[in-house]
Amino acid sequence: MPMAKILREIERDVSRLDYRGLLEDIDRATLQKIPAQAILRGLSRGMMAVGGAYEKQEIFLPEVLIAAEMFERARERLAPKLPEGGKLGKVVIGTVGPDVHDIGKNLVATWLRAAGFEVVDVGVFVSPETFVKAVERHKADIAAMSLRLSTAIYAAWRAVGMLEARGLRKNVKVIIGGSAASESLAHEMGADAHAAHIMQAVRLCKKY
Amino acid sequence: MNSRELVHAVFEGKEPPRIPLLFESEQKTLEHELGDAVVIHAWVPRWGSFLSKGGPFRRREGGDLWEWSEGLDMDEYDWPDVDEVVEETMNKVEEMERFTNDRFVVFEVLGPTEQSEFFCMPPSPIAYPERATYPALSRHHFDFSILTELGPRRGRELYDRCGAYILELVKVGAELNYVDAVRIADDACGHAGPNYSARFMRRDYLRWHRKLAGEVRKRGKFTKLHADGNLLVRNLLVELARCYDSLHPLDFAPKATVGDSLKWVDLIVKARKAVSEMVFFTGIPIELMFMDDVGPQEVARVAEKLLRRHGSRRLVLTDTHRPFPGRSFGEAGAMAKVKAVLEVAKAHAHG
Repeated sequence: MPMAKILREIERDVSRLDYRGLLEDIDRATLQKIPAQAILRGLSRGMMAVGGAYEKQEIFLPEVLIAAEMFERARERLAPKLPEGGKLGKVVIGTVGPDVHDIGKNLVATWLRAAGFEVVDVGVFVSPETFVKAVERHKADIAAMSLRLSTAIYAAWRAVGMLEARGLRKNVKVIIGGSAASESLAHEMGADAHAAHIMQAVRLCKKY
Repeated sequence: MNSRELVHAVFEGKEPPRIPLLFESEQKTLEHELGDAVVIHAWVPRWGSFLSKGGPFRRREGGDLWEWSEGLDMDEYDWPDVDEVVEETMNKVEEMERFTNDRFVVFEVLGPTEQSEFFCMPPSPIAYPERATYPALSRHHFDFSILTELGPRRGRELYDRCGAYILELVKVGAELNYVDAVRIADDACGHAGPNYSARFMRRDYLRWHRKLAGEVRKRGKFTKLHADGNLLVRNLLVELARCYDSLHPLDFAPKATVGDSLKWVDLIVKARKAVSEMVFFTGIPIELMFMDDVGPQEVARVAEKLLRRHGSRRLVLTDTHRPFPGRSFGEAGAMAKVKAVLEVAKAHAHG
C-alpha cells in the first residue's frame, strides 16, 4: 500500500476511534519502513480532527479520552524511532495547588504532543514553587496551568508572581485552562492567555 | 414564618417575605446557624474509600483501556446486601439529625453517574489521611464515561446496579418526617456540556433520574438535582425540569472573577426563562468567597445583580459549592462576605 494511503488510514483510524485498526496500520507502516515521524504526522492529523469535532460539540468527552489514549499508546510504540524533543517548543504543564484533577491537563498535554510540542508534565497537586522550578529547569517556552478547583486559582496566581520575581516571565508565555479558569482571570493574574478547550490551547501555543 | 416555612413558600411559587439562604458547608453547625436550609448527606460509607484507594472496577495502572472495558465482570465485586448499605448510610445520617431543627432539610444522595465513576476510579495520585472520605477527595475521573462508549452493555449493568442501591436510599430518605426535599448529586456536564454521549444521557441518565425523582414525589417531598456544568447544552435543563423541582448550583460558566460572576448571573436569568417553575439554589460563587482580593461588597454586587435581574421568586440564595477542604465560612474574610450577602437579602425583603 502506498505510504500516503497508509497515513490516511492511520488518520482515519484515530478519528473513527478504531484502536485495533490503528495498531494494525502502524505495524503495516513500520513493515513498509515508513519513517516514524511520518506515522506521527498521520496520527497528529487524526488527533486534530478529533479535537476539532470536540470543539464543535460534534463529539463529547469519552471520545476525546479514547482518542488521547490511542495517541499515547501509538506514540509509545513509535518512541524508540522518534527523535527526542518537539519541534515546536517546550511546554511545562501541571495542576498547581491542592487539586488532584488531571483529566483536562492530560488531554491538553496529549494534544500538544500531537501538535509537535515537547511536553513536560509535572503532575497534580504541585506547589507553585515546584512548578516554577520545573519551568526554569526545563527552559520552557510555555508554562501551562490547569485550574479545576478554586484552590488552584490562588496557586496559579502565585506561580505567575514567582515567574516574574525570578526574572523568567519575559521568556515564558503563561496560559491557564480548566473549569475554574477564564479569560478575565488570565488577565487579572497576569497570564498571557486562557485556553477554553484543548484546540484553543494548541492554537495559542502554536502562536507563541 | 420560620426558615422551613420560608423555603416551602419558595417551592410553592409564592413571593417570600425575605429571600431564604443556604450556606452549604462541611461544618453543619455553621450551615445551620447561617441559613434557612441544611443538607444532610447520605453518602454510602463503604464506597467512600474508592476515591482514595480506587474503585473495584478500576483499570490497573498503564492497563489497556480496551482490554479493561471488554474484560470487566460486574460479579467480581462482592455487591453488598442493599439493606446493609441503607442501614450503614442511615446511621451516618442520624449523626446529622441534630442540625435539622426548624430548617428546610435536604437529604442528599450521590447519583448513579457519580457513583459509577467512583466504582471505576483509579487510586488517588496523592496519599490522604485514613479518615478522609468523600468531601476531601471528591474529584472527577472519567473511566466510567469511557466504559459507556467502549463497553456500553457493561456500563449499563454497572449503572443499573448503582442505581438500585440509590433508589432504596432515596425511598428511605423521602420517608423521614423531617426531610423536605431529596437531592440527587449527579454531575454529568462540564462547561462545554455533557461529559457523556447523547445516547447515554437519554437512555440511562434521564431514565434513572426520572425514576429516582418519581419515588421522591410519590412520597410528597420536593426533588432537587445537584449537577455541575452547563445544562443549557442539548436542552438538558428543560428535560430535567420535568422531573426536578429545584436545581443547584447552575454552574454554567466559570466564576473565577467578579466580572465572570456578573456574566454568569446573565446565564442564570437565561435559564430561568427556559424553566419557569424550577427553584434555583444559587447566587453565591464559592470562588469569590475565598479569594482574598475580592471584597465583601463585590460578592454582594453579584448577589444583588441576581436578585435584581431574577427576582425573589423561586430562589434560595446559596453558595455554588461547599468551601473546599481546609476552608471555612468561619474565616474572618469569608464571614465578612457572608454578612454582606445577608445584607443584600435583607435589603430585598418584602416583610
